Amino acid sequence: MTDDLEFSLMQYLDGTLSQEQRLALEQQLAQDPQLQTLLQQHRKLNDLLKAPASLPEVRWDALAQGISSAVAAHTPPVQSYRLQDYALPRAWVGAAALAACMLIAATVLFHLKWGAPNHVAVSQQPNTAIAEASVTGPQIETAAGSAVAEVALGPTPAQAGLWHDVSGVVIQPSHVYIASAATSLDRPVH
Amino acid sequence: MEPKASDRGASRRTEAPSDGHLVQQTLAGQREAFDALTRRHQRQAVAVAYRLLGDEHDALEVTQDALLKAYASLATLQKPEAFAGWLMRIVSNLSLNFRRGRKSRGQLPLDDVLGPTDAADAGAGSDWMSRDADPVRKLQGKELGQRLQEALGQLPEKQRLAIILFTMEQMPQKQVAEALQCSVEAVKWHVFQGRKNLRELLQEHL
Repeated sequence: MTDDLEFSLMQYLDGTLSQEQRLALEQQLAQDPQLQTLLQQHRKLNDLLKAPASLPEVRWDALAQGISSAVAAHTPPVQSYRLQDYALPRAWVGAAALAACMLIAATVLFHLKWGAPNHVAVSQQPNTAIAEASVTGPQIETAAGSAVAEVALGPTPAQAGLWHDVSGVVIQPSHVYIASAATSLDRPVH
Repeated sequence: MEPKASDRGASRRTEAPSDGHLVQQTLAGQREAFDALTRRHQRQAVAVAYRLLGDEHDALEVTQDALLKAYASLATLQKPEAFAGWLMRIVSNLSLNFRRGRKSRGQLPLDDVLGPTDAADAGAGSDWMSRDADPVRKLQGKELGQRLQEALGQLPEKQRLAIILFTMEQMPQKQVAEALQCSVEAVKWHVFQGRKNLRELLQEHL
């Protein structure tokens, strides 16, 4: 005899089986004498347990009065308020804690990945030089006197691609400064 | 026909207050509300204690102690509506403790409250229990009643309590779960195992 079957028998006696289950069990009972015996035993046991018996006869009013007197001599109960009475349900507390953790994690990740743009400016004194470099030259040589004309040798920018393979062309100096206003412009230059 | 609003109000006024309401009233200082709770639950408390202890004097003493303890710690009851299951838990615990060590007599003169019920013949004498009025003994005989008590005593505590509260006292499973501090499913399991064990223990009498 399985526990399941015996459990079904008890439910049958308690009237808690569905109609379908009840009909199935009754079919099984009709074919199984051993099951019928077991049902009878449980039925007798149920009757025995549920019999309104074995209880002492008590003068209930007298008992209630006696307890009332004893209670009267007792310190009255005091309504206490516990934090638990006002606490959020556990599910809410858990959800809030999870949300707080996620917010903290997201903030840390954001900071690590993108940083805070104003962080350096805030943490350093403004206008404080970290390093200093001094760059000098090149300087353009200046003529002793005032320049009158400037002559450039070499190709024009449009013809630059045609000139680089031509040999024998002297392109130095690239600039000629004529220092004196008295110098004639028809004198050849080198 | 729809009842008039005034009729519905009158109907509500005549309804007995719930356990939860009486608990709140007691905590607000109305001691008579606890008297109402006592009258409502004392019979079941005595029955449970008696089935656990098998002695009427002990059962009454435990019932008195349990109700006093319930009164003193009423503020700790988290769900006032669960008073019945909570009280039965106190009764069960005190009864089981009582079995382990007999105590001295309580405050009540117990012989004064033992006897025929108020509706019965008050002149029946001081014998608290009318043996002839016991249906089990009528139907099954004294020996079977004694065997049942012994068999119940052999069950594990949870099974014994589940059988007493659910099967014998026919308390709702939810209240039994409250008393045993377990789930309703666990109550069903304890009841099943208890009945199965009782059937085996009492097989020759069934």
